[in-house]
Amino acid sequence: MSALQIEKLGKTYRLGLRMRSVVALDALSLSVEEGSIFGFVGPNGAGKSTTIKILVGLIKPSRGTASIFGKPITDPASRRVVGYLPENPSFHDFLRPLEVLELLGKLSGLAGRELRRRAEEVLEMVGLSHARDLTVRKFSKGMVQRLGLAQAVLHDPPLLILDEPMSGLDPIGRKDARDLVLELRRRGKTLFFSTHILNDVETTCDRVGMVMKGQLVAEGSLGALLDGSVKSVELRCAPLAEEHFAALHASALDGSRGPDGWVFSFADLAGANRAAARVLSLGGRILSLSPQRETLEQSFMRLAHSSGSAGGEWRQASSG
Amino acid sequence: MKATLAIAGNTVREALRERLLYNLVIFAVLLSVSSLTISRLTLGEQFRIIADVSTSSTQVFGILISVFVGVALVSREIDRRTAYAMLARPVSRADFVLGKFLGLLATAGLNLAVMALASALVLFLYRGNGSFLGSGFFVAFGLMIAQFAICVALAVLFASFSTPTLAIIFTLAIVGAGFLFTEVRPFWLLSDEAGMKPLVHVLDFLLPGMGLLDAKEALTYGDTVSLGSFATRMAYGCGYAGVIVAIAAVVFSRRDIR
Repeated sequence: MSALQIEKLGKTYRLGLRMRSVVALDALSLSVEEGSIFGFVGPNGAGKSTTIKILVGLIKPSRGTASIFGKPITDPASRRVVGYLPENPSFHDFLRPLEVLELLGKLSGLAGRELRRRAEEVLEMVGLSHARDLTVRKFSKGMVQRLGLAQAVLHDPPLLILDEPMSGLDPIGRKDARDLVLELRRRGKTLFFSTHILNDVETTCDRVGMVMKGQLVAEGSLGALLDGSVKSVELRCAPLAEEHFAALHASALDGSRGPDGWVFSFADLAGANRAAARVLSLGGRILSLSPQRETLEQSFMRLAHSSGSAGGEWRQASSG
Repeated sequence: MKATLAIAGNTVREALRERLLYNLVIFAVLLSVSSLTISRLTLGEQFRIIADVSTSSTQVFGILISVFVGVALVSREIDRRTAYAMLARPVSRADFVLGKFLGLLATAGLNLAVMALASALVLFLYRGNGSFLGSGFFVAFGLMIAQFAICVALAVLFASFSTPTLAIIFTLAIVGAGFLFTEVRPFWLLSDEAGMKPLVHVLDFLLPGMGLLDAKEALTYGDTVSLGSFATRMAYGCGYAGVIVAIAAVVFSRRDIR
């Protein structure tokens, strides 16, 4: 069974006195398999948060349907199996973290000792035990984000829907959040998270959906999204006598003098190998020789400019 | 129901941190106490003045607290996005609205208890005994909770779909109209103008009969109010507030929380 099934989901807002129609989401369909990590990427304003808010019942869809483990999202009971982290989460600032967790735990059906035990456990998990006596008002943005993650996993839901989970975290916090995401997958959880930080997707996700201007432009596995062919080969070598730079640069696509050596870019491996042999024959030292493949960012930009060119396992989303 | 009570409990906690609430309660209590001095301006009607000032200040400040704190605590949940994590749980919008209403009503009840206690103390200081603690005292203050329930329900309704400023204006306007309508209703019924009587009957349903729930005279004049009359009026107040809360739940269920 799919953890999450979305069928032609759409949202149109009516804005202003003249009720101007603004399509925030258009016929979005996708499926998230149980136990996977699905990255939902797109630029700001693409419709990621709208989709997520529809899934957790904060916004009513104008069209289409969605279900969580087979239950329609219109049924509040479907949210029993969902942990949700809002974008820029906010909690009652006069409460202490355990009080926040106890309040939200009660709303998820937890009670008594079990609730207390889980609250303590997740507070420890997100590294906030030291702040248990502080009110949320005194929390930094990163601490609030950690508390947001804690409340999302509090009732041990099988599906986690996280809206920009790494937002507001420092490098250590981001690594902790990434580790938490991977640990949750190891425990068999399904994760659906939105982000516009593509590095987060590359390091954690199994599948990716790319949304732009309210439409899903591509969806599939990370490997299928990235064009695996070698785009160029980069050669780094220790600096030689200055007159050799121009000779090496002439045979390369590009070249530069960096603080820790010379860097040349070649169209293929053969050209790079010839240049490397020349460097060695001149008594130089090779620092690295690395093929350059397409990054997710480059793929994102490619699809953003021309969604019709995506091939392989990637399918074009219907836009009707 | 557990979720509703959890939201209600948190609302009471949040309301008790409102500085505005304490300012208004303290002002109402000071006004009751000052009635001991004000009453000396009259001859022979001192008890009436003290009772009038005490019950009126409790009523006015209780209504203001219900409206202002009611609107603030519902609007804030959306504006500060604290409602997101709550509404994304297996909690219906109706549970949320009912929880906020019950929490605000409990807060209004606590305020009423404090202000009624202060009034009783002032009357005791004047009389030197507790002879005023008859049915009139309990009916006068008891029916105020029904008035506050209506105010809180209207505040929750308007705050569930409009801005805080508009919600306060709408709520105070309807509560004020409810009081005024009680005064003009008998005259409008006697009017020969065509359409006046049907209008009165429509307004009977639309506007809250705040005058029906106003029993301050029972304490001031020592009138006897039957238990049946008290129960009927209380049932009307609770019923009206219940209908408004149900409408608020429907309206809030249709709202997008962006």
